Order: sequence, then structure tokens, then C-alpha cells
Amino acid sequence: MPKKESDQSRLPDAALPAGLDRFALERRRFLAEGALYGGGLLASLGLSRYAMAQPPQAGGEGGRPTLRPPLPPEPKVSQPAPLKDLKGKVAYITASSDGIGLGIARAASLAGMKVCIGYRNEERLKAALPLFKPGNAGVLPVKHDVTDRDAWAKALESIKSQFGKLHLVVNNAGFKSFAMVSKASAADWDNGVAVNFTATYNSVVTCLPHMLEHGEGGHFVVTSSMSGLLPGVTAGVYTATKIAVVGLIEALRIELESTTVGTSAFVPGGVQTDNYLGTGEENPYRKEQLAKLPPDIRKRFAGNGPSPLMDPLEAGKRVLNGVIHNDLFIVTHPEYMPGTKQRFDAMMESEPVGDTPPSPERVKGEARVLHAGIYPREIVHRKQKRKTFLATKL
Amino acid sequence: MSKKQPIRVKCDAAAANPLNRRQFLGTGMAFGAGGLLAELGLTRQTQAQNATPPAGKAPAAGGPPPGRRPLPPEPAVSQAPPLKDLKGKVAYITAASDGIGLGIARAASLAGMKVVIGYRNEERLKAALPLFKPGNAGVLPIKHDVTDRDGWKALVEQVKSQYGKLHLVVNNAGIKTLRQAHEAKFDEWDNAVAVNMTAIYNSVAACLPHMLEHGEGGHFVTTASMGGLLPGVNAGVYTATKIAAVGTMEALRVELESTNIGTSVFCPGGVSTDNYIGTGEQNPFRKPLPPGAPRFGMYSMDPLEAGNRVLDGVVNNDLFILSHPEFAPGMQERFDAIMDSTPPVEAPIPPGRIEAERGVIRCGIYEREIVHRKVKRPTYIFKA
Repeated sequence: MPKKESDQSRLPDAALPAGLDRFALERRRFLAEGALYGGGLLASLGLSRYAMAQPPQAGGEGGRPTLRPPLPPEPKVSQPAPLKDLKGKVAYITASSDGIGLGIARAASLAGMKVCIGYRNEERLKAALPLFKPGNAGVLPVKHDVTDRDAWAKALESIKSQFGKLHLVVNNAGFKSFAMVSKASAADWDNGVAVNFTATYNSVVTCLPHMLEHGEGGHFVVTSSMSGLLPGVTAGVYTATKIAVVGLIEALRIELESTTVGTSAFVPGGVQTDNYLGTGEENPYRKEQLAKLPPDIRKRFAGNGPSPLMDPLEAGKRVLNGVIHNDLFIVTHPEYMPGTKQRFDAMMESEPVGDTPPSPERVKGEARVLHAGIYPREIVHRKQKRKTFLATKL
Repeated sequence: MSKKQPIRVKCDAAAANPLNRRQFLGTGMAFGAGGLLAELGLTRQTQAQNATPPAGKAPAAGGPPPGRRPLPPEPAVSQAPPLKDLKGKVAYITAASDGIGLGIARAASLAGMKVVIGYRNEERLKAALPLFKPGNAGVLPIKHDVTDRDGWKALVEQVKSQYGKLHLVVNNAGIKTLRQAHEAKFDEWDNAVAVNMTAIYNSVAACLPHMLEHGEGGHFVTTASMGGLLPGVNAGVYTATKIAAVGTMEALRVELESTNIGTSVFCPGGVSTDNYIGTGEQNPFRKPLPPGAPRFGMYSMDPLEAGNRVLDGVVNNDLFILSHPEFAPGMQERFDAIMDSTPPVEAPIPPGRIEAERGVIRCGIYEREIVHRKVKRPTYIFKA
């Protein structure tokens, strides 16, 4: 921070507006000036989008000799969508014999994709298969436990031998444990981490080399949850692992931005799935399960007519829309976002701005991690008009 | 952005026309009157009123389905700090023989706490012990691998037998795997997840029952990183697991808010530790730099200051202990990118959907944390 700024900030407490302490005031001023994309702190450090695009200056930073290589040049716009045209491409959706996965698989099939259905339960698969229209481009069921790394390699081989290539991987399998972190058994925790978090890593290390090799473009999607942005429920294992996997996708975007492989985190709210015992879809397996419930519980769900939650097929179309635009975050339920904003505001309010201004040397040492260019680029990307957030050309 | 539209927007079947994203968020985030959350009866005030629904009234069409329980009442203010007074209390800091952990342990010792030092490397421990002042309340080194669940149980027993109770656990051990996630080997990934994320669960599973039992208050802190709020460094294994650690601590705050166990996640930027080849501290283990080596770490934060900031967060029960304000603009960029991903409302949201989601559509800890943060404090550095 410039010295002048911090001197001005040291107002006597008595001079402050009532109810606002010195830190709160300075925090606001700091953000208002620092977060500006044009001027502001990042720009003064040469870290704005514009400054990064300039060729690096010789002679080190600020006259101080440095052995660190200059920051690499950054792209000016967000990564172009690697999978703009889905027709004829191959998608593998884990756990897609029911629920959101089935919705994504159906949407992908309607879009003309060859669809590989990951499943574990034969009964569910049997009920799901008739939902794919006759004349589809191809449907290949793959029995697969996503926590098994050898099985990932086998799944990839069987997809390659059937369809030749794999373009889109949707890590949809999830472990909806309602255990609290503070009460979870070791098995609950370990399963939650393995299915909701590590499985995505497994998919990337297995499928990425093949995607880079065939060069036709690829894309990784993770079905996280709104809980991945807003941990609202006392189901800590679920929320912690869903937050984790959103972070992994952001990290992967940074890593893969310069390649032809896209990344998206899908964060849905309520969708009619088994979890919610929705009744809206024409899936006989779902109806059978509902019939098995005790009458008093069944009444709570069945008496209300069609479920008001999002149809899984609509959710699937929204995911595909995110894929063809290469959206980093595929948000489908805007009603969660005010609550999410509160979470971010709480984090911002926690910055001890004005306490002790950082030395310029410290800030320069942190230059590489002070901001991530993928976010300003994503903001610009999001400002571009699009007709709809559903994939319509199906 | 259109300025002609009225600010007030109803988020129900009537709001069929596409909403301006920022308007929607702007009205929704308003605390108190107006705004989406208030309209849905989801602010603190309305929730308290709705906790006891009037008897005999049939639910209106589109209202709550029959048999749905009302949301539980929420506290009005953020959780009171369980550990306001640190003197004489017992702290266990994992991986405290060097780096940030040593800074926290020294700060805790200076604050009059009995300090249990988790370590794995004897040499580092030997160098660290003389840094604790003579006349301290007690220093107990315990060799401990945080991924070992039986080791956690044994540790709690050992601390209890030495000091009777355990109050503060700082999950400080971390693996700085500077590896891209898509290139990481299986064991690199598994280790990072085990140390940076699962160790938090291990600590809670082992220590929480004891903390609740002795009833004197307890606190869990995790040393994450600025990478846990802003994945700026091109090292996905590290940032993903640190983001996971932050999420785990937030989940724990939701769960433990009604108990006398506090929760904080510490997200530091640059601190002069081994990782940065810092030279700032008088630790003989730290070898002098070869001439001409990059010295960018020497200007970073002193580990003892970092420790004092952590303790300030503990005595205030801050959910997020942040120490490096220079990261704020970058954080704001990330949050803006997420908020700008909010889709417009293309078709009316069925009221029943929002009703079904009412328990998860907001999380009160954040609203309360914002209010908590507006309370005046003289400094963010703990002073004993």
C-alpha cells in the first residue's frame, strides 16, 4: 500500500462515523481502490490484466536485483471453449443411471453425443436405458467404482475400444453423507473424501493424457453442489468435500487454461433426484422406490403432485450449455447466490486492512499468488451476451 | 445495468422476466428489511417469528408441504469466544518445531499457555526448544504423525496425563506439494489430502469428546493458506487441499456453533518460514542463505507475529483469521467471478422449490460473522 494511503487512514477514532470502526472504514477504502481493475493496487504492482499483457521489463522489479524469472505472460481472454460442437463427441458421465447424472446423459444423447453411462446398480441401469431415444448416437454402460484407480484405466480402455475417443468427462458420482464432521465415523469421512473429491483427481490423471493426445478438445465437469459454494447444512462431510472439489476445478482451470481441455464446476441446488424423492420423472425405478416408503413419509412427498425442484433433464441441458461456453462455474439456481454473497462478504470483512500495512517488499515477494488471472477473465467472459443458459440445439 | 428497473424484485412466479443479475444479488444481500432473503422469511428476525407457526392454520397453496418441520431457531449473534482467557490453558500445535507452527507455539507460551509441540524431526525440535523463555508455563514435545488416527488417541491421553486437559488444537501440519493436480502422482495427492484435509477430521474425532467433557471451552484452528481462499499459485494439489481445509472449518463452525468449542481457519500469505527460505528468526536450524540466493522471504511476516495474530483470532473466535490484506483485491476478483456466474431467471422459479431449499439457501454463520467483524477491536495482534 502506498504510504500516503496508510497515513490518511490513521484517523482518530473519534472522527469516525458512529458504528464504524477504523478497520471497517479502511477495509472499504482499500477494496474500493484495490479491487478496481484499471487503477488500484493490482495495477500499481503490474498485476492487472492490462499490465500483464505488456512484455516484461529488464532489470528486475523496482531496481532490486532478483533471480526470479519474470511472471509469464497471461492470456487476455478466458480460455475458448474446447467443445463448442458436441455432435458426435463422446461423453462419459459417472453415476448416470439415475438422478442428475441420468439427466446429463440424456441431454448429451439428445445433443448427438455418444454417451457412456457409469453405473453400479444394475436395476437402476435397467430402468434408465429405455429413456434414451431410439436412433441415438450410441449408449455404452460402464460398470465403474470411481474410487478405484485401476477401474478408471479400464473404463477408459473400454470407451476407447468402443468409440475411439473420449471428449467429455462428467464427475457426477457423489456421496451424500449427511454426517457431521464432528460426529462422522472414519468410514463416512474417508468415503466422502474419496468419492466427492479424490475421484475427480483420479479422472483427470487417467483421462487427460488421452484427451491431450487426440487433440480434438476435451472437458472436465464436476457435479458439486450449491453446498460447494455455501455450506448451509449441518452435513459437514458433504459440504467440506463439495467445497474441496470446486477448489480443485478452479486449480485445474489455472493449470489447463493453455491447453485444449476445459473445466467446469456444476453447483446445482434442488433437482428432482432420489435424494429428494422427486416424483416428476418417468423413471419406473424411482416410482418403485417411492412405493416402498412407509406411508406417512410417502405422503409428505407423493401428495404434493409433481416436484417443484428442477427437472434433471433441464439440469443436464444447463450443464451442456456450460460446457459449450466453457463456463468455470455452472450455476443453475440463482436463489442461492445472495447467501453465497454473504459468505464471501464475511471473508472480505475478515481482512485486517489498516492494522499494519504490508511492506512493498513483502507484497512483491507474493506477486505470483496475489491474484489469479482466471477470475477477471471469467468476469469478462460472463459479460458476453448469450441467448439462453440451456443448451437448446439438441 | 438498467437504472429504470425498480430495485425491489420478487423471486417467485411473478418474476417471470429475466432479472438483472446484480440487481437480484443487490437486493438479495440486503440484511434486514427488503431483499430476497427477507421476502422468503429467511432473515434472522423472520426466522425467529416463524419458529412457532400459528396453530390451526392450513398451509397456503405453494406454502410449506404438510409435515415439514419449521427451521430451528438461530442465535442472534456469532458464537461467543470459548477461550477468552488463554492463561494456564493447554494448547497443542501440530508441526510446531519450525515455521508458522513454532511461531504459534511461542506466542501461546508467551501468553501463559502450556504448550504441546507436535514434531517429527528431532533436529528441528532441538533447535526450537531454546526459543521458549525460561519460566514458561510448560512445554511438552510429542512426536506425532497427524495422519495416524491411533497416534491422535494416544496423544490426547498423554496430554491429559501431563496437563489434565486440552483446550486449543492448532492443525498446523501441512504439505506444501507444489505440484500441478493433473501431474501429481497418486501418493503425492493422497498425502496432501491426508495431511492438509483429513488430519483436521482426525483431530476433531480424537479431541472433541474430551473438550466437550471438561466443559472449560475449546477451540480448533487450522492453518490453511491464502491459497485456501485464492488459488493463485499454479499448484493445484496444494490449493485444492487448502480450499478443502477452509471448507471443513466452515462446516465445523456450523456444527459446533451451539457448543463451547470455537473454530477458526488461519489463511496467511507470506511468512518467513523454511518454505520461503526466510532469515528473520533466530533459529539455528535455519541455515544461512548462500550468497546471491533470492531473498524475497526475508521481508515476509515474522512467524511470531503470525502466531500472535492467530491467538487474537482465538480469543475473538474469528471464523477467518486473515493476516495479509494485500490479497483482498485478488480474493474479491474470485468472489466476483463466482457471483457473475449467477444465471438470469429465465423461467419462474416455482415457490415450492425455494421452500424446499429454505434450510440451505443461506447460512446464518456468515451474517453473524459480518456483524461480529464490525465490533471494534484495538488491534489484530494478540498482546498478553
